[in-house]
Amino acid sequence: MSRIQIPEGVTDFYGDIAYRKRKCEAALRESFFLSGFDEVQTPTVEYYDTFRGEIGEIREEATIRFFDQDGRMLALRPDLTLPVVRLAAARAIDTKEVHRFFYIGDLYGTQQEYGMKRRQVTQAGCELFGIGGVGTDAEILITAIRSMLVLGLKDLVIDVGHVGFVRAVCKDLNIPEEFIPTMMKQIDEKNETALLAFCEKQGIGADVIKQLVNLIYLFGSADVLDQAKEIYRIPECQIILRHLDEVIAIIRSLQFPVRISVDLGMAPNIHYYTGMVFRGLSPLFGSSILSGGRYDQLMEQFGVPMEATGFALGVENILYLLEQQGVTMFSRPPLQYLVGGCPVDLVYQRIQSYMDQGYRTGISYQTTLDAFREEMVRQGVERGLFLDGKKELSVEKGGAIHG
Amino acid sequence: MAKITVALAKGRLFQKSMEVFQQAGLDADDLTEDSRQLIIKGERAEFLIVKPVDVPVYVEHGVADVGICGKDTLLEKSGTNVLEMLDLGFAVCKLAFAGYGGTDPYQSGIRVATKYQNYARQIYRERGVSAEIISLSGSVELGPILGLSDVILDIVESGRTLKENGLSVLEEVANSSARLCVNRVSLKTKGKEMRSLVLRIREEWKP
Repeated sequence: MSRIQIPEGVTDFYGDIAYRKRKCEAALRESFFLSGFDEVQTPTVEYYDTFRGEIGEIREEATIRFFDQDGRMLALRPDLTLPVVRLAAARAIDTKEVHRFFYIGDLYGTQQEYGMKRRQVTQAGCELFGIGGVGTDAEILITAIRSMLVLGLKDLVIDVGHVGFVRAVCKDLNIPEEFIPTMMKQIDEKNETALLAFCEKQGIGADVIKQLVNLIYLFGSADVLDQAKEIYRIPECQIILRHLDEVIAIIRSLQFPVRISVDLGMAPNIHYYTGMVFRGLSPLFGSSILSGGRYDQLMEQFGVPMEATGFALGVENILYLLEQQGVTMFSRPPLQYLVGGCPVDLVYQRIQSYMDQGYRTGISYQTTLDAFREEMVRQGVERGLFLDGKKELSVEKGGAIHG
Repeated sequence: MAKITVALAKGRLFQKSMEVFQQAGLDADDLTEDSRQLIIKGERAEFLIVKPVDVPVYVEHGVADVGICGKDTLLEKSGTNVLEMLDLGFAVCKLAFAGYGGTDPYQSGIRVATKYQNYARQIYRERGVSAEIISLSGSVELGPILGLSDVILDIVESGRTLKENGLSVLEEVANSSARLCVNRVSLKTKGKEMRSLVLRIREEWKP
C-alpha cells in the first residue's frame, strides 16, 4: 500500500474548499448563536451505550467501535444528537430548565450515501430541550429556515408533516398495533404497491385500504391542511392539523423567501420522532439538505423524561449545493498584498505593517521585478510592493509601477 | 412551469415506458431507443436514455425526477433512496433460482451465477446459508451448463430459454414488474407538475 493513500470514505480538505467549509460553519455558528442557542462540544469518543437503546439506536455495523483498557466498549460518535441528549439529561437532573444547544462537528461511521461509503461527515444542528408546544415547534422551524437562508441557499422548500397523523388514522381504522410501523414506513416511502400487498396479505378490507392509500397522496401546499380537516374528523387528527396550522401561520407571517409544503404522509424514523417533522429541500439537491423534528420520548431513555426537538444539516452537502448555485460568498479571497525584494529586513517590516492593518499579506522570494510580477499574476494578487535596494516600487496587477 | 426530467431504460422496458409518459401528456413523440443523443429535450420534459440498472441511480441523485425500472433492479439496488410509487403492470416476470432439476438452491456452499449479486447475497444472508456468488452480466444460463455454478438467480418470463437449455425453475423468490420511481425532493420542489404527473399515470395508465 502506498503511503499517500487514505481510507475509503474520508476526505482531505485544503485550499479553497477548507476555507469555504470553515466559513460555512462559521455562518451557521453565528446564525444558531443569534437564535439564542449555545454551543456544545461533546467528545469524539463516547461509551457505545450512549448510542444504544430502543429509541434512536445506531446500528452497530454502522459504528466504529473499540475497547478501552477496562474492557468497556467505546465508539467514535456515529451521531451528534445522542451525545447532546446525554448532556442535556445530565444537566437536567438538578435543574429542569429549558436548554437550547447547538453543535457543529464530525461524526463517524459507515454511512452509505449515494452508493458511497462515508466514514466521516460534518454535521451542524440545534436541539431544544424541556418545552414543547406550538411555540417551540415554530421556533425550531424558524431557526432551521434562518440557518439555510444565511448560507445563501435559494429556491428552498420546507416540507412539514407530523408523525402522529398517520398513526392516528391507522388507530381510527382499527389497524392492529403490530402492523402500524410497517404501514407508516410504506406510506412515508409512498410505496402504494407494497402497502397494497401488505394490506391484502393481512386481510384488510378494501374500504380501509383506500383510506390508507389516500395518505400517500396527502401532500402539496399548505391548503392540504384544510382539505384534511374536512376528511379526517377524529379529534386526534384535528388536534394535529390545528397544531400544524398554527405553526405554519407563524412561519408565513415572517415572510421568509421559502416555499412551505405539507406532507401528512410523512413518517420518517418512526421510533424516534413523536410530533412535527420537517425537511429542507432544494431543487438542486437530490436528498434533504436539512431534517428534523420532535422526539419527546428519547430523553426518557437517559432517565430524564423531557420534551425535545431539533434539526441537523450536513455541511459537505451544503458546500456542494453552494457550488451548484454559484454562491461565492464563502470563497477564499486571494492574498491582498505581496511583498518581495531586498533588503530582507525591510521586506519583513513592510509585511508586518500590512498585516497590522488587516491585509492578508504574502512574501515573495523572487529576486527580479519581472519574476515578482509573474508571481503576482500567478497568485492573483492585486497589489504588490517590490523593494529594490533603497527604492520601493508599488506594483499593481494591471502592470502600473509607482516608484 | 418546471420541466420534468425523465430517465428511460433502454431495452425491454423502453417502448411501454415511453407510452406511459406520452399518455400522461409529456412530449415523448420522437423518442427512439437507438438515438445517439443521450438527452432529448421537449417542451415539458427532458428524457435521458440510460441502462435499466442505472435508472434508480439517476433518480436517487435527482438528476432525473422520475423514471421507470423493473422491481428486479430495485431489489438489486435495495439501498437506493428512491420513492417506488406505482406498479405499472408491464414487464411482468419472476426472479427465480434455476438449474438442473433436483438441485437445492439453499444447500450450504452452493455456487450461484447471477446478474443480481447484491440481492443473491441478501437472500443467503437472511437464510444463514453460505454461498459463492459469481457475478455475470449476461447469459447466466451458461453457469450450470458449463459447471461454473450449481444454480442461477435470474428473471424468468416464459421459461423458454431455461427449457431450451435443459434447465428449470427451482424456486421463485420474487415478483417483478415495471415500477414508477420518483425522487423524493423533486416531488416537493416541482410539486405541482410531479404530483399531477404521478396522479395522472395512476388514474389513466393501463398496461
